Amino acid sequence: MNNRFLYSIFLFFVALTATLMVYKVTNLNFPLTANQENTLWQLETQIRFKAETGEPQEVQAWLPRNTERFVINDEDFYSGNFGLNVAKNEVGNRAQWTIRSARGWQTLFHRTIIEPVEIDLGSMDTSTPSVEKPIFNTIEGEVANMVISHAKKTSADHQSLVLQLIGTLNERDSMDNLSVLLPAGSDSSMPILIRLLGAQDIAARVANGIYLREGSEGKIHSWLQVYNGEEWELFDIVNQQMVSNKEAFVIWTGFDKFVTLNGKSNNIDVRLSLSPRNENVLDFFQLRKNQTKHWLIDYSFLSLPLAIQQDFKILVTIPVGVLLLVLLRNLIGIQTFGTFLPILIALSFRETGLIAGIILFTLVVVLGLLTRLLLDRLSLLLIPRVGSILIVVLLFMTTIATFSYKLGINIGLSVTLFPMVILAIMIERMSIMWDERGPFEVFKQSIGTIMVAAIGYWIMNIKSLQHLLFVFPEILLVVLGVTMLIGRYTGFKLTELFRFRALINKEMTRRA
Amino acid sequence: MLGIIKRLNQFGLVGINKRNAGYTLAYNPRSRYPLVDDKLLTKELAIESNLAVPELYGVIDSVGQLKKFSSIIEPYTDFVIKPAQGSGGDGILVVADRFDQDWQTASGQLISCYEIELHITNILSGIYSLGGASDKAMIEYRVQFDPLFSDISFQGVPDVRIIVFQGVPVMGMVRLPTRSSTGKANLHQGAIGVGIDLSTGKTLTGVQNNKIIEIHPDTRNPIVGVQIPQWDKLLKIAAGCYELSGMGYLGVDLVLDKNKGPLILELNARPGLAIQIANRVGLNSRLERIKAAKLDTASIDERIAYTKEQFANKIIL
Repeated sequence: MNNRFLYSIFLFFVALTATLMVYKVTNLNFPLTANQENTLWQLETQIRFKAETGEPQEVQAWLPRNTERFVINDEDFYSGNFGLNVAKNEVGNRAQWTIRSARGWQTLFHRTIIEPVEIDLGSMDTSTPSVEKPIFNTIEGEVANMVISHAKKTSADHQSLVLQLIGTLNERDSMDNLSVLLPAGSDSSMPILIRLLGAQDIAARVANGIYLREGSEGKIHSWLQVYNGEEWELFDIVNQQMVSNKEAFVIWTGFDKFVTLNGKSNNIDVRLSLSPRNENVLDFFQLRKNQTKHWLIDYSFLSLPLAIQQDFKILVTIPVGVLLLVLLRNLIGIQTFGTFLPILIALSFRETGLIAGIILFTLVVVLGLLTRLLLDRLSLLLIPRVGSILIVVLLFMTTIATFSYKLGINIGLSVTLFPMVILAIMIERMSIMWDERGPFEVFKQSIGTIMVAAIGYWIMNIKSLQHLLFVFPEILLVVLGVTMLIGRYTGFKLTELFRFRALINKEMTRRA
Repeated sequence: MLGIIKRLNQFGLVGINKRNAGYTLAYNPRSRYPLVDDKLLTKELAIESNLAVPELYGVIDSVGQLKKFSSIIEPYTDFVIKPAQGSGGDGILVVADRFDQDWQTASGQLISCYEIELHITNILSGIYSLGGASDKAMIEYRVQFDPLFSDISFQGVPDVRIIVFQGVPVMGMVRLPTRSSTGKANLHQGAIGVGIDLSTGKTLTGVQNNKIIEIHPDTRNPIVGVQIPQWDKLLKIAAGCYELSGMGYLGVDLVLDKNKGPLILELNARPGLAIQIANRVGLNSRLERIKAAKLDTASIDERIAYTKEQFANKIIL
């Protein structure tokens, strides 16, 4: 009866999972396999300046925001002692760092992860922009009319009109009297372009941002953005060409500087660094755009920020590791140190890689045991003894990390991810077992621990499994069910067949 | 492999999963575990039920009480220090003799008073206890084992393990330490397990490292057909441990003292399975027979009578 109840729970889990999965795949188009890797862009802005006296300082900077083609997936600030305020309006998102009194070098930091999306999410401001009629004086007006009529003559549509205007203004000698519109000192034709287009009732503005395409570096560009009646188009006025909004990521619009210190843009060191990150990201926004709003999507892991999603991808594999551990311990009969220690080690193998992880793990444990051997002579009490081992283990780890870094081996750095406290306790238990049960038992269980950790690492790292569990976390119910079923398994363990093998000899069983 | 499983099943072997799910989980109430896991409680209960145990000289339950230690052992030249919640014999220190300020362990090693006290603090901090929780150190009488066993054991303390199911002794063995088990009575460290004919208390053949033996490898004396003295009393104590502990599936560890007769060493709620190798009999059919016989309300004498009738083992060499 007991078992029947367990079986019904298990069947319920299986049915629930199957139902949810089928529904999500057929009705909501959740993908069963991982899609291709998306290129994400990590944009870091570092702002440094020297505050001469203890006066109040104010730094303003534009921040990336969601656009038609790009989504901000993650955002971090480092503000030091500064107060931070972010103002959002149609021009852009603006960060304002302020401090009452600062002296010496100051550093501010901002990092975002920008995800390109395949489909057009639609403009944030959908209303038709209003056009402000520019005011020209008489001479200006004449030249302007001349330029416009010339451009109109040589262009077929809206887009070529804009390009023609840009071309005309780029070639200062192409027309007489252009210097009326473009005085010798002006460095950009952008303001006059906007005015000229305005005169034709065409809305135009400056858009500033970065290129997100292969080989792009972190550099702010200013584009001319023109409203064609339906949407905003981007023009590169230097190269006289249209820019695809799939590649140009607009951060803010208008003539404002990217970063200002107390209203000025000099005396401030701004560094932008842009790096591509290839990650297996499920396009949540795409999924969402294609469907009507559904709570299953809204409350899925896919709605979480990207950094948390990456953590969850690891989290959801832990139950599979646990199931493996249960299988290996209860069905196979492998002995390990600590019940769930192998899983923790497997998780740290994720960071170090398998071979390096095993080498580092062995190194740390062997060094720890040697220390324990030395401590034995000092006859310390238990808690201080384990504490000492912990400290020594930590010193070993940091030393290994430093040396391997100096030698140019990066994996050493991740040794610090080993669960140190548990390792210290494990080393203590090992040495006690060594005394009481002999080295063979210690060796056997160590091998068991590493073996389970290695298999766990391998299984928890299968990409398609990660994807499946992440998109369909209900599968974990089945994992739970199987784990519970094993809890009622009363047959032999594989190792028992070996342990009791003598009993099936004729000689052993000839007695009734 | 399926063939091996089939033959082991025919043999009636109980594996660890079966023991856990079918017996310890099913017949041992959780609330009773402290009574067997804490040897001090077991001792108190045994004394209440008039079952003999090694005399308790004293208990140290905190580092502050360590100063009591010398007055506890003052009258004695030999004693045993045990963690109250230890498992598998870990953390047991047997002190055999006194030399001025120093002591000698059973294995002949000289240790100082400070080293003994350090061992006690280790016990107190819980390094030997099951869950790692803080523990107590018991100082008790060192068993002077029956001379009968000195011929067939090498150092250490030979003991008798009897599995008791629903109050009925099911299977028993004598564990004999050997040189290769370094004086420990642990079968997988090389000690000899010798099966017992439950109806007579005579030993059957022994098994060491999965091989059948008839002669102790160190003392060269035969281990087959040795009559265990006071067998009926041993059976009675073992069966009585059912009432005492309330555990349906229990391993009772007993020793035979030269002067005091059978003493309960400890009770085990998760007794090992190697006893099946020593007896060359699987536990399964015996346990099933007891279940079918519905003896859970029978008296101790009735249950022992059942054991003697049902579980006689004849030696076939």
